[in-house]
Amino acid sequence: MESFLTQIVVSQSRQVEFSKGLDALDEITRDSLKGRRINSRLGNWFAKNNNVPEDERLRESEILAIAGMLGQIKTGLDVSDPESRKLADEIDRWHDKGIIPRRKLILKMKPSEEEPGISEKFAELLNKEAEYFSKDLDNKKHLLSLLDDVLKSAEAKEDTIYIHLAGSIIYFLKMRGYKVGPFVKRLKEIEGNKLESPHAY
Amino acid sequence: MRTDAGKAYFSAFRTLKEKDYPATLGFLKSAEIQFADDLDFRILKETTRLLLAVKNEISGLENNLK
Repeated sequence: MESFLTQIVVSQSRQVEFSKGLDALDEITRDSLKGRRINSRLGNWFAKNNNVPEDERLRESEILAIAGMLGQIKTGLDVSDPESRKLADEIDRWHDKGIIPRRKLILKMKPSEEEPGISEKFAELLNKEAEYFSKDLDNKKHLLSLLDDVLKSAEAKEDTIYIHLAGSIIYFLKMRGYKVGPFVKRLKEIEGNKLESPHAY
Repeated sequence: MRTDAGKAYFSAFRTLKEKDYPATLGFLKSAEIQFADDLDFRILKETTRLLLAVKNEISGLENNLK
């Protein structure tokens, strides 16, 4: 049995090595979604995995995983920054070489008779916020640190959910006696910029 | 992003390489939620489980002999 398991390890050695690369890209993606700067790490990842798009042993599930993560990272890159622009171009290059996410199947159907009302939409937003927030709870960070992460996301992402979540945390902290002036100022600046954007709300 | 089960499956290979069978079985149990229908996965998990059981049994017998 031990010999059998050893043979499995040998046969899967390439997969295991490759999975380390996927784990690293996964970490980069998660940090990117939190609005953290990932340029240097992403650049290193590309350098280490430069031959991946040409690897004929690449499985479809691996292509989809990489493509999905690179797509998520790209949405957070500020292309006005030359370094980020270069990384976005590299993501496009991988896309051109076949690292493409699966096209989502969209089933069209008649709209339901009852469109969700504003209350249902608000409940849905709260659920999404709870889902986002719960991912960070395990890190045992203070709420002020989590607020900082949320504000970074609000700054970097188009989705206005982060603005609402940041406002909610700020108000919660204020009710408990925390000084929230600097956070309010940051949020107002972000909100002002977003409202000027054509994608706002 | 990658699922925790997918990560656990590959972590199992890493610990298997180091012959850390208890850790391997732990990772495989974590991966089960996603790979329970995968034949290769099931063979790997059952072999690891059996090997661990045999090793524990041998270890118990050896202790009794001392």
